[in-house]
Amino acid sequence: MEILCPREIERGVMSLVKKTIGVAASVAVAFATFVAPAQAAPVGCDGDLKLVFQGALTGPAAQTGIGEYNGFKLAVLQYNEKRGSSPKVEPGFIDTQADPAQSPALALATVNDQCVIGVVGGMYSGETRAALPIYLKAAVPVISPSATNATLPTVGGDVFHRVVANDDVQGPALAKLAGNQPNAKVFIVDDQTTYGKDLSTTVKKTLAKAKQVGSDSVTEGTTNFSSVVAKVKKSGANTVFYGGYYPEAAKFVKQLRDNAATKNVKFIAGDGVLDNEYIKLAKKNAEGTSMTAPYIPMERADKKLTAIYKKEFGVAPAVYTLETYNAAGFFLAAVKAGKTDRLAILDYINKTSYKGVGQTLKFDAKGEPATKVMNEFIVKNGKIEYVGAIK
Amino acid sequence: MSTSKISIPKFNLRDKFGDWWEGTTRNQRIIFRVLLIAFFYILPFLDNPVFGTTESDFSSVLFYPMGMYVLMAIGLNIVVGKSGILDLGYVAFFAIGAYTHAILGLSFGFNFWVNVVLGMAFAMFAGVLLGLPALRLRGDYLAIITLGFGEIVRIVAINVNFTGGAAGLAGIPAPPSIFGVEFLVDDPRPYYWLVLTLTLLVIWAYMRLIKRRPGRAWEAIREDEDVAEFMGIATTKYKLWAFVLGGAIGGGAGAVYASQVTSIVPELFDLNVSIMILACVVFGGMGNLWGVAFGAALLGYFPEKLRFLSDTRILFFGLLMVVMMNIRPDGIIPRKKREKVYDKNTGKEVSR
Amino acid sequence: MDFSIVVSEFASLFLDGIVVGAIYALVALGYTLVYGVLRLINFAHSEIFMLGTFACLGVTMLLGYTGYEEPIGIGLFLVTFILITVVAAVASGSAAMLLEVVAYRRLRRKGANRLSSLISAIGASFFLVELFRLLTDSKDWDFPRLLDKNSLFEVSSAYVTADKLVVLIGAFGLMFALDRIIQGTRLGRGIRAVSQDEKTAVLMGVDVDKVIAFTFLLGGVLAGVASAFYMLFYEATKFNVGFLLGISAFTAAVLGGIGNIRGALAGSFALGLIQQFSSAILGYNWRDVVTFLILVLVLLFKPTGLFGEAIQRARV
Repeated sequence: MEILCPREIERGVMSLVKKTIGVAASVAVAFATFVAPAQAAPVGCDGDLKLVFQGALTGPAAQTGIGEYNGFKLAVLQYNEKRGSSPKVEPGFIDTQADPAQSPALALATVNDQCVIGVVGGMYSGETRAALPIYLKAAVPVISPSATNATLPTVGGDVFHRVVANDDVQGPALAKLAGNQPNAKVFIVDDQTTYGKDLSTTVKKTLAKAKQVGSDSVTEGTTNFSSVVAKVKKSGANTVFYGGYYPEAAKFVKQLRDNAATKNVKFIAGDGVLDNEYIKLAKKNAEGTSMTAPYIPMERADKKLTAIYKKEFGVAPAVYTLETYNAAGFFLAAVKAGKTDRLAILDYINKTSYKGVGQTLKFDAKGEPATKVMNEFIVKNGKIEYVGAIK
Repeated sequence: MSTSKISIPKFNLRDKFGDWWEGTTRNQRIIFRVLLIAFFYILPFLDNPVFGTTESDFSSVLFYPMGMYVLMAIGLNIVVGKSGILDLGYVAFFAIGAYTHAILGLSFGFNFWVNVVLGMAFAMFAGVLLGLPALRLRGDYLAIITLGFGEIVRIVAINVNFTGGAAGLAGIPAPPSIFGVEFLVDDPRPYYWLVLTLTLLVIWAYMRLIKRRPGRAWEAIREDEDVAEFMGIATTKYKLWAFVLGGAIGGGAGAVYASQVTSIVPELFDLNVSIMILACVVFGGMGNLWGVAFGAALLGYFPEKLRFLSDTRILFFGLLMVVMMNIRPDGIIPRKKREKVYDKNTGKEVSR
Repeated sequence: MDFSIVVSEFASLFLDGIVVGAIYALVALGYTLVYGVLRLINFAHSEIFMLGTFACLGVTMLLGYTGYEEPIGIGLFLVTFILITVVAAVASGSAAMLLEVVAYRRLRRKGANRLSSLISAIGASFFLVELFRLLTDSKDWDFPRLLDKNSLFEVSSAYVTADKLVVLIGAFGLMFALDRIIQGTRLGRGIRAVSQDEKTAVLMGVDVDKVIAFTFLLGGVLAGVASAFYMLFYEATKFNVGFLLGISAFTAAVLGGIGNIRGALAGSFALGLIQQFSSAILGYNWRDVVTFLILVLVLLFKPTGLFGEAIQRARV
């Protein structure tokens, strides 16, 4: 860099001073005029009450999101049909694409809409966590059907609740399931998502060390499991636990069954795999897979509702449809009970329990499900069958 | 080569503006600048259904993606636009800055401003670490290495514990209040003003650098690196400077971003962001600061504005990219074909 | 870190590595050919591949397969599979040519800078991914099992199955055919000429537009065939399947020396093997880091790749 002579420095400084005055003046004007209490006092709602769904309706995670959103829509639709004298509730949505970069702006717009009484969502932990501080500040109650991260109750404080079971309950249940296999030698795989990793970690902690013969991690979107299969083969495992979602589980179990050495391993997974799509993708290889979930699937719990769902959306209920349906149902029950503002609804959700379809929703002080129900399922003859509750 | 059959009228925003700018007096210019800056500060209050983003909160969008894209695009412009170094992994610097503030703020309670500086420092350090060996290479090879670097940073963040792994970090502290204005979670405006102020500072510093030797060295390198070398310019040193300075800006932006969102996950820092910022630079007009800033603002704005198209948003975005590049590959505000020449001693422009 | 698995499962990992490598190779060739003639990284090539996978799926759906049938006999399989491959190749090939005309030709004529072409490529890539996401409902789609995958014979720890053999034989056959095309035919020589020196090629009477269109066609056809092999082996696809595979194939092309055909082959097999072995040793989650590290290290110390740049030196 060159040496600046004094005159240059002086000119530079003067120009800088002028610019600073200009900037400061504009800023001062802006501040003086507008930075009073941030917003005008919010006016009340001037239309129908609104319940908002947060999740991915487009983008890579859209399939799960649409499955959830359909459950949400159905619940609100049915409520509006049979609401009688209770106020109408409009179903809204914010499409975050499950992207934590997008959810804050959408969440802020949502809370600024005074008609919004609550949020069903987010779908995944990242986007939920990014939006929670905003919901907390505005005291908007939130029930997430599927966000699993352990820090969410802390970040979300009083407003956050979730339907999906904490790993603290599902993990030990899965460990028990795996460990009870005859002469169990368990190989544990996770998909590095918050859900899969946390679940696998809990299983590893709970399952007797002597029964664990190996572990591996994959990523979402993995198609080639051959190196994992090789590891399973080498470990001599007869049971494989997969912590993750059904698309990868389907590919994994298929490749396990194709390999002569591992074709008879017992395949165990959590509720992220409990979806008819799993069987559709894995076909005969899905046979014999054991899964756990804190609910009874819609098909079994309420055949009539399932038929209505299929008729309305043209597809079968998906992996988190039931949870979303019940989460929305809880909000709607509050409205039916006469609560129409955010704080009253929040209070209602915190204090009461709601009998949904296939499960009962009751939240503890942290917003986690208080009911410690865990059910076992198995794929038999190409269908998901309910085995019983895991004690 | 045959000429294209469709002739698009030659409309050059920059030249039109440049001509008008030549004709103004000094005082007119100052007033113009003040008004323009005031406009940007007042922008959050100009939220209306026509120009604002209706589905997302407008102030929030002004901060991210618009404000962040503009700041990062200016940083990347130094690397790609001015110096011709194709960087496909710019998001790595952004990630380093964000994680610096997240980790130091959460675990050690460091002050936000300290973390911004440290974030920039770490990003610069990473820039040196990557740049020293990599900048010896040319063109596409360099691009690929930077892409690899960006991905490595992200994947390491997923696999390593102190970055929170796949779950990331939450509860990241906000900046301390300035002049009594607090940085609250549900009011993005102070954050936006913060970014705006930082951007103006960066622009000011950039304008200074551009006129002096570093700026001219960068342009020489971009135009023809071999000739620049022959003319005695230490190309590696200046390329490294461009790379590191661009990285510093990215790192600073990252720290500010982390303080606003309070919760970060590795998936926020993926290849798409690098590509996006690159698109801003190319779309806006490589090398041209105003073009790049304008392009970045537009590219941050439109996906949010077009949310009503919801499902087909990104489809149109991709289409826009292809169409834009085919019709105006030099960007919406192309840089001058003939660069300004500044008198060495006075810093004043000399007409050729 | 488990090194013992390398010993005990060596053959199995090796076989899987080269099968994956063969698929990479066919896609990598597309990247390398286009780079050779245009000096452009065709970002949208991965979507040409993805398109091929759905073309394969379309054929099986039209033929009425549900996926629950018993695997079909070898004769019927060969006929069906050839049909699928041809359809996929035609689909991908034409898509690639269309891509060239829409996204790149104008820029090339104008002599626009490389970054503009890159952005156009990226835009095209986004567009295609989103288009297929909308068309396929964002779902995973499964492909029926056509060939019995029982182990035919064993080599040490490796189970050799029919589908792996098909992929390997088919891929090698295709690479040989490509070599013949590049060396023997007029258009093939044109490709080498344009890769070497475009201006001189024009002076020598080479129709550059035709050569470039042909290059894209070749790359597309190869990607189409790769997609058929992919579907045979993995039996599933999704709208974003191109991205992950594309990155690996692209890395393979660079590893071998981008612009060099033999390099693309060598790089692909090398990468396939590296990925398999490093996944087994370190755990699958480190696979991508290893891939990129290799990429970075090669570029730092031998930037022209294992075999060096330049298609015209394919004779080496």
